[in-house]
Amino acid sequence: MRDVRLDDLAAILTIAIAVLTGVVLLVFSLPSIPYVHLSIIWDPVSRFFGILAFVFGTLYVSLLALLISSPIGIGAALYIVRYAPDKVKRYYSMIVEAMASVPSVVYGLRGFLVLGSFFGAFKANKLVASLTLSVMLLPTIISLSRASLESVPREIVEAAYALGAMKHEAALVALGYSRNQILGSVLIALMRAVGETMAVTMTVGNVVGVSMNPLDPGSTLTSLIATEFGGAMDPIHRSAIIFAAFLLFVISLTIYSIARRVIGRGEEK
Amino acid sequence: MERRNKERAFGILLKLLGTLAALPIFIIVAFVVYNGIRAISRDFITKTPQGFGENVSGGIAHAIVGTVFVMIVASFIGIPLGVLTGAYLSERKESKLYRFVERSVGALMGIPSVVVGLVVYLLLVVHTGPCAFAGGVSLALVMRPMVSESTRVALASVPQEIKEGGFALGAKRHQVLVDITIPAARKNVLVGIVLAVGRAMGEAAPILFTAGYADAMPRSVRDPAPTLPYIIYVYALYYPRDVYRLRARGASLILLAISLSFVYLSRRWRYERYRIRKILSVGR
Repeated sequence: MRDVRLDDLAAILTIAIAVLTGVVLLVFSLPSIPYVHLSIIWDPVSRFFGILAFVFGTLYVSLLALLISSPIGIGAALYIVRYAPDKVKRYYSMIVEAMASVPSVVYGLRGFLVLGSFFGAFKANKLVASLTLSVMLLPTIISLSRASLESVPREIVEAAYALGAMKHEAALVALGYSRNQILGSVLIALMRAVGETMAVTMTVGNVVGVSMNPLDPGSTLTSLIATEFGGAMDPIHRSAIIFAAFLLFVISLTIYSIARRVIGRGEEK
Repeated sequence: MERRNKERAFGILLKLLGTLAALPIFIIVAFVVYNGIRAISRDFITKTPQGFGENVSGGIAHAIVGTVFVMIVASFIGIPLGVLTGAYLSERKESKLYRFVERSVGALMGIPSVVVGLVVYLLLVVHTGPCAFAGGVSLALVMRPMVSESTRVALASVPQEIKEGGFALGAKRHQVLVDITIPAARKNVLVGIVLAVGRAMGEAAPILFTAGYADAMPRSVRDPAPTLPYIIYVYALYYPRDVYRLRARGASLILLAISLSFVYLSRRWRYERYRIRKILSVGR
């Protein structure tokens, strides 16, 4: 008799769920295709669904957050791996773990009520969202960069010291050696930033518009889904929001596969 | 010497960045405790909301029970599937489908959780209506890839010799998996499960369209059951009144306490924790 293979079934189910997710999003967004435009105007009443303002908001907020948190996160990882004493290392991993486990609504509430109050009447804007998001990305960047810095072969660092490098120069050598993996961790963080919903929805202001000023409110693909889908009655409106979800799905997968490739390239060395 | 100054400056800069990165969690915990503690009372935890608007009283017991309901459903679906997929990823590298399964788990980890909620809405909620069961299904989908990745790492760390000893005794593949490999790695598997459950519990995005919202206590998994993260979102954003802000802050304190206690629980086991943690910081 053949071996019972429950794990095979689970594995096939995994593939099925991944494929199904893409197919469902695609099928349900089809009805809206004639009404979706490459425009910044989003007008559910006249069924004119310009998606660009949301793509802009998503990219703006995510990239600004990354700009803030990557140097801090990578610097912190380098500090832990090459400078910190063992005791600090141990506590630090606890701190990172705690940071990663704080629910995003709690981050969002803090961003909304505390950070936002610095900006007076404009409580919610793109800067508040980016700052909130940048804190949420830190654990991802720190733990992934830390892992790649720790996997730098001892010989590389020792060789740097043998050539007369000082501590900071050796640290930079280690950083240079694992640059691909670190870039990969930043990309994984970008993927998380693009998909983050609650914290962004609570802090970004949810005003459709394209403005380069970080103090203006904005709107992202995720905040569009979170705020409009529940109340959308028009089937075309709903379908247009599902199209936004499909776009989000495609963007996330693209970033994920780029990150995989970048990390893979680093590992071949 | 200039080079020495550079070295010192670099060390100080990194130390500053390290401190800067660690600060927010302390600020958050302090803020949540300071603001939330005023809202906490016995009624807040044991009663459902009474009245509307400014006159609201009672507590958020319905959301606590809702969270429990949703998480029970999510765990019943997500943990077995996640562990089995993880077992596949760790033990069946020779399978033809392996590459696809691995890619799918990666893809599922990357799908934004709000999109997961949307898909569950389109396939399930349109038939059942928003309820604890549907909410549990979407959280199971969020939890599953995290469980499978951490299980994979945990099982892969079991020495090959132990598994082969089982085969040498004539055990079948699933017997080796169930009787030898999983028990040998059970603590590491558990750590992954505990962290994934804790993480899923804090997610509000997949709940938005699936678990429903009600002020009443859910009586079964077919009832709408808001969870703690969901009511925090609703109270903070859709009820712009100080009474509700305070309730959101109280709920935040309870939620944060539960989330952090999951982390504490997982830290009681060491082993492969480090690599598992790395995985979980990637998944949402």
